[in-house]
Amino acid sequence: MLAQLGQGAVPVSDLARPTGLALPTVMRHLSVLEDAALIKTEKTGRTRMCSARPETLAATADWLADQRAQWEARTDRLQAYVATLIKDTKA
Amino acid sequence: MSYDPETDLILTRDLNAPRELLYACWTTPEHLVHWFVPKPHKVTACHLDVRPGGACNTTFDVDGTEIENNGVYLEVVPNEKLVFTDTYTEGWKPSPEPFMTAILTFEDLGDGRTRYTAVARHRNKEAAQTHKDMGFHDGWGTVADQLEAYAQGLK
Repeated sequence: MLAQLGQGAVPVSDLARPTGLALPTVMRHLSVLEDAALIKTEKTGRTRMCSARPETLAATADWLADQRAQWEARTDRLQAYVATLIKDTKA
Repeated sequence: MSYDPETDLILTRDLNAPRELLYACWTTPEHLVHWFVPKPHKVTACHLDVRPGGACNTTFDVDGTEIENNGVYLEVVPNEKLVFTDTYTEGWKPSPEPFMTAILTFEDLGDGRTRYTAVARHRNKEAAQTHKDMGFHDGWGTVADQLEAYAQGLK
């Protein structure tokens, strides 16, 4: 489905057809992808259009950047936590 | 030591805390559970046997799923350096899916400040993918922001 979205925005029904899956099943798959910020959907009239979010896909592909983000975030938390420890000692 | 830009990352930050305290945060379960994983995830178990070959095991609750992160310490220099890996678990048992070695150094800058350096050396991209599939990379960044905001509120 992500490969098909690479071509541009597609109605959800068009995405569902080649899979042979029931529409509610496809909707459930799409909602997982949407929660993961890999795609976005929006309603245009009676059709729900689905499109890729290449920025997230790019970030996902760069696994080392992802690891770095985890280490940076972990260091942020360590820094914040240690600040509370120091504050408690002084208090 | 030479680093591979494809698989290694180096993070250096000067922190406003003495290195003894930062080292304690890394080596004491009572401290580690407070900052190791982003909220709302939780550290549900933590066993740290801080000596070379000693267990360095943590279990996380990520959205109701328990994820075990087991490894051993390779090098321990109190207040100065910690090296650990998931390549082995306790008793030097080789891991089926080794992912990384972490090298932490705590350099005293005086005035209660520390130059904190974390080096993470990874096996390869494929191992990284497996690690990611454990599903615990989501939301690390946003959560750091939330926590920072929380810490600001405490001041």
